Amino acid sequence: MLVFGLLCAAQLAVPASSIWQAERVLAEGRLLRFRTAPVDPADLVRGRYVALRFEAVEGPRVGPASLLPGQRAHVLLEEDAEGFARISGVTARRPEGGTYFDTRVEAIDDERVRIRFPVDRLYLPERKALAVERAWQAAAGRNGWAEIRVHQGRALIERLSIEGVPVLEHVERASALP
Amino acid sequence: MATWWQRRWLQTELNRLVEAGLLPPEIAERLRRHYGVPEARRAAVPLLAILGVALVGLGVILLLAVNWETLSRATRAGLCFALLLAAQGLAGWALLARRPSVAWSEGAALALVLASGAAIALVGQTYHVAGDLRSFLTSWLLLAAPVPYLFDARAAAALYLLGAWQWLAASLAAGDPASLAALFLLAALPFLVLRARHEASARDAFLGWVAVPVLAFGALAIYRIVRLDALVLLAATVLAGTYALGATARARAAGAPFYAAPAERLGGLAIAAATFALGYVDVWRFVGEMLPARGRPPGALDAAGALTVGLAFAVLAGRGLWQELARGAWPRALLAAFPLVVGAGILAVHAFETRYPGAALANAYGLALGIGLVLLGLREGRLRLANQGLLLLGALVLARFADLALSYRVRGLVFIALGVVFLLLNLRLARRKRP
Repeated sequence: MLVFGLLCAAQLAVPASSIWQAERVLAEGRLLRFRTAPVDPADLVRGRYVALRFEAVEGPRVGPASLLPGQRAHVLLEEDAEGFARISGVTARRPEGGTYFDTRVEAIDDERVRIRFPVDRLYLPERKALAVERAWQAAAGRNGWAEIRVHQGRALIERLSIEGVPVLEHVERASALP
Repeated sequence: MATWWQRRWLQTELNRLVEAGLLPPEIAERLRRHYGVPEARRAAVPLLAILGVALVGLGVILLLAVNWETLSRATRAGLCFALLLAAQGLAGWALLARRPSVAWSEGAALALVLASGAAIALVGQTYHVAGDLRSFLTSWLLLAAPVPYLFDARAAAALYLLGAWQWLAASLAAGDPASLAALFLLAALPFLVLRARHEASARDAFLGWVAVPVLAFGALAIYRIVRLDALVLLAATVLAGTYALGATARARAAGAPFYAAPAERLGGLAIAAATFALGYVDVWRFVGEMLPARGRPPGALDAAGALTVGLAFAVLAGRGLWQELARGAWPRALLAAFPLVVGAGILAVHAFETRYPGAALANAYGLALGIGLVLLGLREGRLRLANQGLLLLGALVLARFADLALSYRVRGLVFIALGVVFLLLNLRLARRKRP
């Protein structure tokens, strides 16, 4: 029974810790806007989603420590003049402060580091997935962006927006037009 | 000592004899007690419990995947824990109050595995957690691994193995290292070994049909082997070792039906299929070929791992070969010797720089195996075995007859020569039978 008890505790702890960490990011994280590029699909157990690719996937290596592909790294973020987030640097050492998320290095070319973006999907209600996907395909890379909360190295997507309107609302408005 | 399969047969027979009035119930009861046959039970109950839980669990997962927009994050979290706690409550009750019940153990264990998967999926969906199916499977497999041990549950073990197989297949498709799959498979190995050592039953046979292909595929795919001939030789060794392992288990499962020996059946069938394929000259093109390199190049760990797997299965095949030769069952010994034939073929293709010796060896081996199975089937009075041998022979003959890679002259002469040999053998046997 002790092993069963431990197993039950582990089974509860895994979703509980994920929920706790996610809720902290959403409550305390700084909200940034990222430009995105379009794509598609469905997950076997989690349902339909919009797959996301981001323009901000590389930045300069900063700090004395070297980086290797596959290594964990911290990605420093800043906002440009239009209010969109961009990568100001990638470092192996955890930053003392500032806005950053943790991820892995994909490739390195001279001093430019390409990273694996820690957000790659937004799950959608099954009935609206197709309409959102179409709207997003048309908007991504132009007037569509993702709003992502970043807190102590963790990043969680909060919403996708088209022209500043949440994507689900945008689709509902478009379908209501005569 | 009667095997599980013999006792099961006896139980059915005793029930029939009592029902027909041929045997008094008290005598049947004494016989039951003597052979340790349990009271008549409904074998369909555990099966229905497993099916019911599996369908309900999968249905719940599908309903959650709809991603109901009316559900708030708090409701989803509540749903996630309610689902998990309900399954845990059911499992705890089954463990405490219903321990001897196969249906309860199997059903509760399956519910626990499915509920933990559904909970992880629901959290991932709610917070749009990044990552593919593999990242989901990693958490789920880690939580599911202890369940078969706790409940002695075969259905949960089978589901776990299928998850590990899916993880491995996804890694191979992405060109990523698959060594974590080795740990997932190793975590299930003690359970499978324990079950294999214990007396086999129908539930173990069911698990075997899932475990044998998953483990054989895992043994081949975990380590990166880029030389195709090395991979084919390793595959041949894994198949022969699997067959030999099953053939050893067969000795313990006296009175068992054909589905009770998955390793033997699957290993034998795969060897026959591979022999048929290797009979084609063009197939031997793999000798000296390299697999397209994807992801990181193979390292010393891959070589060491593949060598260990190869040696382990070679030992199993060697033991099987020795045992079958000692029993005088040379056709079965031939099956265990399959890697020797493939290895000799590869060496011959390398040495003569032509693919024909490889194909010739495979055809000769297939011919010997087919004839051997027919003779063994006739000797042991097992028509199915004799038919399997005939099927292999027929397939080989037809394939070679239509094989345009070989010249008409060569094919014609070989067919006539073999036909004459068979006719002479027939004549000799017929003369020997005359008084």
